[in-house]
Amino acid sequence: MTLKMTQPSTSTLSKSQNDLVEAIFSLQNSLELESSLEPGNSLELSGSAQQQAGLAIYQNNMLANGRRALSITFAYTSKLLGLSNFNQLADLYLTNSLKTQYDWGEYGKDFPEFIEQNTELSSTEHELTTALVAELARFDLNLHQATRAIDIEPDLTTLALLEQVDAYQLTISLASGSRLFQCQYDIVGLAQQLDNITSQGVDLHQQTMLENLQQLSDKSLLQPLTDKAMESDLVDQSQYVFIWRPMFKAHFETITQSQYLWLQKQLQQQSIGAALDELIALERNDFSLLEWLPKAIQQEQLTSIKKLN
Amino acid sequence: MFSYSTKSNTNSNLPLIGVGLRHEHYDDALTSPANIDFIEVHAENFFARGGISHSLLADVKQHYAISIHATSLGLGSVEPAPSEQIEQLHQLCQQNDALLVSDHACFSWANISDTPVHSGDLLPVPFNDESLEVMSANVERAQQHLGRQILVENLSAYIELPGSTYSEAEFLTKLCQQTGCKLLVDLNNLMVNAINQKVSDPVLQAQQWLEQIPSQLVGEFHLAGCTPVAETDIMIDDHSQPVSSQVWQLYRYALQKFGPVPTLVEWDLSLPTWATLIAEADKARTIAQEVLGDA
Repeated sequence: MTLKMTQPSTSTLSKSQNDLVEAIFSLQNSLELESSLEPGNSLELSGSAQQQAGLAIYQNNMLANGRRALSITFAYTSKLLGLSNFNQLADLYLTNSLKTQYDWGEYGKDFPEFIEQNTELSSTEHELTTALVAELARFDLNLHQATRAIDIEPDLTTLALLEQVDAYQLTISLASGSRLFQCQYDIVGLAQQLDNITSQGVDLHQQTMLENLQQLSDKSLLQPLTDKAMESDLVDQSQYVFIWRPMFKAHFETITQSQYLWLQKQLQQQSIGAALDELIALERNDFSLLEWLPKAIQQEQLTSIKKLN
Repeated sequence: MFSYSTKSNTNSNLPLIGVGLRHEHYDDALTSPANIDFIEVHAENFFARGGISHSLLADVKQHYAISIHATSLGLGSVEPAPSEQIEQLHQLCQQNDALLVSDHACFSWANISDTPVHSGDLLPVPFNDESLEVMSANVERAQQHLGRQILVENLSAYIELPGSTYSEAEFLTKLCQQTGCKLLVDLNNLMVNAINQKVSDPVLQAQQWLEQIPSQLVGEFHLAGCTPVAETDIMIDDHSQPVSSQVWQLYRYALQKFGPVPTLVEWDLSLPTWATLIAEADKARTIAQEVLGDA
């Protein structure tokens, strides 16, 4: 090993810190770090069993923390794959993706894309496709983000504004974490089946992916909706989902494409009047504000009515 | 520099005694409030912008004083923590009238391919002037942003980075003198390091470490358990066991030297019942009474 720097400098300290973190994430089993002080003072982890064992402790910590964080954020994905498969995927992700967030709760935003680009799942003998798992992971991420979103206090007294103020001056404030999700598989059906299986006392974390798939009573959940659409002549091949958080737990439900468009405009803070005009212009005649409003209040999807500035 | 507000301890001759509060104990902590002076939470568990964690902490605050223990600033990092991270900690401390605020004498941030990367761990630094300069700057920045003194905890380190010119105790003392911070002395970390260094008498080595620290610089003690790693000679600071007899022995020594310093029992893995954890805190209180008297 050649030591080039013999004077104290921040760049040497910086390099040793960068090298150690890189060695942890890339699971290197040895590391050489330069000393800033004396040429003979370098650390050769490759030559010391104790140091190698120490490096392994940091690597194991990283994997354990990363697996745990990802399994919390991607709860349905973890359930579907089984813990062993999920951990393998998590390890692959952890060693290939730089952790730029300081909060493990924010880690994994590109995990769904990573799954999509990962060919391992596609080569399994099961019906499970990478596209489905990636879409379920995207759904998980949306639920997780909704769970952590800023709290919004409901104020239903503002409903009176609907009778007092022009609809073009009003907008609807939706519940904490409200967001829309569009998918090509029946993700809501799959999530509900996974919930049901768990609630019947089967801990899917302890099961293999194959066992989990056998638990699904409706195997068509594993097919893209395009296949179902072809079978039943359906025109719309997407599933539209609304996610919101009334209290602490994120809720979700399938909605129509018209409701999706309506909620999209509310999330964009468009006025109620303008949003309705756009739906009419798009000939979305299946949406009724009078039908949607009481249901949204009852399900705590709506928190208040606000005047536009 | 700052005062302690306790909800149960009115005897200034005895230390405040607390426990680390983990998710599994939330219900018990709220339904069976314990005779402890404060609880400590990990800051990062409450960094979500909203949701249940904030609500739980608000409930906990009704029963206990709260200490905020951060694990992610990486005060020894050349790559500085983003301002947003310190601001999140600041807000958490303000919302909860934090009794104590602490993080570690470690680095966590690095720069790989021109991208700031967080290790998610507490990584050791060499004890030299370079590290001191970096850590002092980061501690001062944190204290300035938080508007208060912080406590900096000594590490359990599993590798030794090259280039140290000071002992750890010398380094931490200089850090306090340069920045006005205080130390959170983790007695278990001292024991873990001494055991891993294969010294003949780990307790004696830890006592010698404590002897180098000026009394007025210690703001908190941590007590915890550790576990040997199978097939290696390494002890890890995993907080999965009761406090060891060696750490209790060291605690007596530390109380004699430093007096009634706030003391926290940590237990993070293989969690016991809430009652068992509180019993550990009670044991700390009993030892403090024996060492310091209850007058």
